Amino acid sequence: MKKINFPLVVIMLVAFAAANFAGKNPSKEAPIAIVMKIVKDVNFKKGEEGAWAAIKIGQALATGDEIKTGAKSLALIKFTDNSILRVRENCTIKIYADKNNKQVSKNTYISKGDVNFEVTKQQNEEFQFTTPTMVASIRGTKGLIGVEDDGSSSLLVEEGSVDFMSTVGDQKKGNVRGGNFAQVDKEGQVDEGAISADLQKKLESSKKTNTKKIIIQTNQGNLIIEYLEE
Amino acid sequence: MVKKATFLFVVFLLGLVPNTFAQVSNVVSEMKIGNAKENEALTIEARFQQPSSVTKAVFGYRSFGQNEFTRSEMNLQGSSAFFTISAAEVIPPYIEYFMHFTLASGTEETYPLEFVTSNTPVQIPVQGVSGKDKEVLVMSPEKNEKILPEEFFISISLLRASDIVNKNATKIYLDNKDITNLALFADDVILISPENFQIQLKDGLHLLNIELYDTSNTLYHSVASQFIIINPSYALLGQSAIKYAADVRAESRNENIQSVGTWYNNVNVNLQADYKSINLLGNIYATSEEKKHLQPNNRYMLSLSTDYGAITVGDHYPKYPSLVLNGKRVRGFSGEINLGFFNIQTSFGEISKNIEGTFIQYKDTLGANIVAVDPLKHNGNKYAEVETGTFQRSLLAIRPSFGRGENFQFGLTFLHGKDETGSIEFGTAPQENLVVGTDLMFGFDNRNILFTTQAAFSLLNKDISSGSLSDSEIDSVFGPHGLINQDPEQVKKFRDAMKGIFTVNQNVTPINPQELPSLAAETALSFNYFNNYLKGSYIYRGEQYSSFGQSFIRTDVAGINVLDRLRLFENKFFISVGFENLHDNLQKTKRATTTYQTLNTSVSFYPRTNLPSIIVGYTRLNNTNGLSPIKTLTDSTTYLSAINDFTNRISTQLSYNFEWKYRHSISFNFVNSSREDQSHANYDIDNSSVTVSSGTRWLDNLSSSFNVSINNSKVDTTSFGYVSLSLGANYSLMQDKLLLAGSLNPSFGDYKRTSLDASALYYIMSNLTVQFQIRFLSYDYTSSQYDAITLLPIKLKANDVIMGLTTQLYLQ
Repeated sequence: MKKINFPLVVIMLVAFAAANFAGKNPSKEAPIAIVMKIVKDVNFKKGEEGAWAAIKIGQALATGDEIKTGAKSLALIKFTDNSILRVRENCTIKIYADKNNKQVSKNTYISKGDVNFEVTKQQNEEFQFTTPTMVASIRGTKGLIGVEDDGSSSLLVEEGSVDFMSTVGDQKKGNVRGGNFAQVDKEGQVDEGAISADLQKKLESSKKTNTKKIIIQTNQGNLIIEYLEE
Repeated sequence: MVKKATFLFVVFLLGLVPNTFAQVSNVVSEMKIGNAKENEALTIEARFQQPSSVTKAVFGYRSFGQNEFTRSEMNLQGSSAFFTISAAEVIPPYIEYFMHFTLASGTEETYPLEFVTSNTPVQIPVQGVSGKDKEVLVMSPEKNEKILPEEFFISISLLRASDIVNKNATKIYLDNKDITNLALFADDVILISPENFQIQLKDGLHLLNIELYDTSNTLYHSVASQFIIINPSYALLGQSAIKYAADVRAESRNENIQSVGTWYNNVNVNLQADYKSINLLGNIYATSEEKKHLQPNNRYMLSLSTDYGAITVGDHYPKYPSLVLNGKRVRGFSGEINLGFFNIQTSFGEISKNIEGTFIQYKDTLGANIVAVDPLKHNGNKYAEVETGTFQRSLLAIRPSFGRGENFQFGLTFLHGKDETGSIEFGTAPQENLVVGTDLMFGFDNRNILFTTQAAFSLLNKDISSGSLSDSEIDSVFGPHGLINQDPEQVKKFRDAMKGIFTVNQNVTPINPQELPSLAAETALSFNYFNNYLKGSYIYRGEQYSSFGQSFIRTDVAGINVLDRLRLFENKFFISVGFENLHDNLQKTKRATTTYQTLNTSVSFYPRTNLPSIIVGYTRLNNTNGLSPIKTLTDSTTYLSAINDFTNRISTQLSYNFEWKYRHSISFNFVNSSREDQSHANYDIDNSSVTVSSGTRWLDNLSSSFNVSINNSKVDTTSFGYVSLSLGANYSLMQDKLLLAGSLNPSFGDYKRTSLDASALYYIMSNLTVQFQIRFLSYDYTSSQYDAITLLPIKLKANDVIMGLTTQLYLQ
């Protein structure tokens, strides 16, 4: 079998996603989402030229901005149409948006990690997720999309349905309905089926954003350590 | 300068918070009603003039087109009574309500006062859901979100706002303070970041208002949201798996009424906790007004609920099909299991406490208020004259049902209620009640087509003191030659079948079940398409239908009700028409059948911009039984039973929020009700009332209110008129730590009364308050009640003082 040049595919996909959205947006600074909550180590990079820096809640995100979470960390992002992304630990995403009048089509590129999504019903718009091996097009549903280190992607749909296409191999198209999943490995092989108990647990766990805090009293005051609830 | 001062004084007088103004009342000092919005639950609080005087409060309400009021007991707590109308019942264009109070003196009173004569309720305008609401998305904080102060920021998305909206002209108010200057406007997003927000927010509820303006700087739309700031220290405690919130409120109050001073003390604890998917609700209310000789004033309740079931113990109001059990306080247990395809609900407990009667004297024979007593306990005496007491009444209800209730549900209900005969010694006629019912619901096309039906059959035994009849007693009481012409063998069979369930004797009603005198049924079909809601319903209530779980049902009535409500211009304009045609005398027990016809019409306009909201309504009621009111030589009594009257009621409500140097709100309410009685009694009633209310916010921490109400009534030949004024102001100082409020409320005319209210509330901590309130009442008028000895109307003249100290602690 012919070996796929994986880094090249990733670069092409990022370029593809960016080309699709960049340039159409009237203003690169126009916010399309807000960071609602952060836990532990969450960094942010503004556009291509920006440098990675710690993020604060209330940070407005515009097209081209990137978010990166560390271990045991979380970022909760809300788009201006009320769609929600829960960016789980060790995840990197880049958001793109194309605004045309009142319609904002969004594309979130996930290079690695898991993102739980709750996308509001889209009116003549698109909400896409792009991964190294998959493009998922969402009209309004809930689920989880994840990318492994080798680029293989999984899509778990809680309700509604999601169209997807593998972007490597024979570029198979498909549709995943609520209670089902699709996986695309790095070769482009697609596996579909019903969500198992383990996957269901993973899906439920990915929705959790509650935190716990430990207070350590010191001479310099209280030290508060916040961590995600299991 | 003088002109400006005069102007400011006049505008100051035009101040008010419209939804708190109470009509003139001997019982209610203030009504607190939130903004009524379609499909949002609405809580009503009635605050009392003399809290200790109210022993029971019943809230009656109805939506447009309903002629029957749904009645439910209000929750009495301290100096207020509360009731919440469920979200599904909050329907435009308005809700009408009245309240009925039972007072400690044994008398009764309605709110509004005129309701008892003119049957004119109070209207609460209900704003329809607007398509424009979707144009403003409050991203943070979300509606009713609980949030830590350090995590608080505001972000608003105007992505969906109309093209005619000038996004940069948007105004943001937090707790009525304009905070727009803190906002960053960036394309579709308005952001007030934590760094820009330096205001210290108190723990508790906060209101966020957003106003959109169009390109001509005219108010285009406004939306309101609310959120709760939680205390960081308690939030840290709340990091455990169990989330909880609690508030504790303690009140000590002295009422000096007609020169008699009495202290009242009460404590109220509310608790709410969540653990995973388990929710816990608790309430304890303990008051010094709890007395052995009165029905309970203390309340306690604990409820645990999950997605699949719930249990509640203590004082609660279980909801079953409305004909069987609804709006009744039960002290006991309720439990339900909801599996969807099959559900079961059960409740049992006490609905009235046993209160022993009072012994007066021994008697030799039975008579009115004379009961048989045990000679062994009463020195050989067999009878005693007593003031009768109240038996303990217990109730059991079970309802198995099939289907989730979204598109289908079928249920069966069984209710048994019984007075415990041994619970008191001095009581007469203990009763027993049995109700069986069924209900069915079908919903199609997302419930745009909805069919509901329910039916219930009741048995009531009006005196079970002698127990079930023996065979020989049945033979002597029943039969063609007995007291009741019914086959004795059938009665025996029925008695045996009901053994252990229901007491069968000569006091059972109905005695003619084949004529369905104790059947109650109703069915309705509604269509909701093209912004038009059309509903047709039929009701049948036999004259002897009775359920211990439903004290307020109107019986001996049957007929149809048709309602049509048209929404236009994005729910800004409503045209509503309702017609009802009912008749009584279902069992032909009356001399004539009375027909009750009601036509309701209403036009409502809620522009949601800088134009006034208007509701205009017209109602015509026509009651007639066809008998001639003229006395004839052949029939000297029939004319006395003649019913022939009609009532015309016109109502207009205007309300307007506007900004002219300061923020103002103003409302105008006019109701005229005229009853023309063409029967022999000629009991004509005319009632007119005009109320003007206004409110002004002068500064962030200063607001004022002014109301005037003019009421004129003529009942038969008696006229009654008064003018009532109310001037009030609220002022906060010490960085909102101290809140001062005061109002002066004089009434003139046939109802002379002046009340002066003042209160000071101080935040000791952000979650701990202490409040001092004082009310001075001076009145001099003739009551509608009569003295039992002189038979003259009671004249009331006194100066009363009520003082209270309340402290409240919130824990979250």
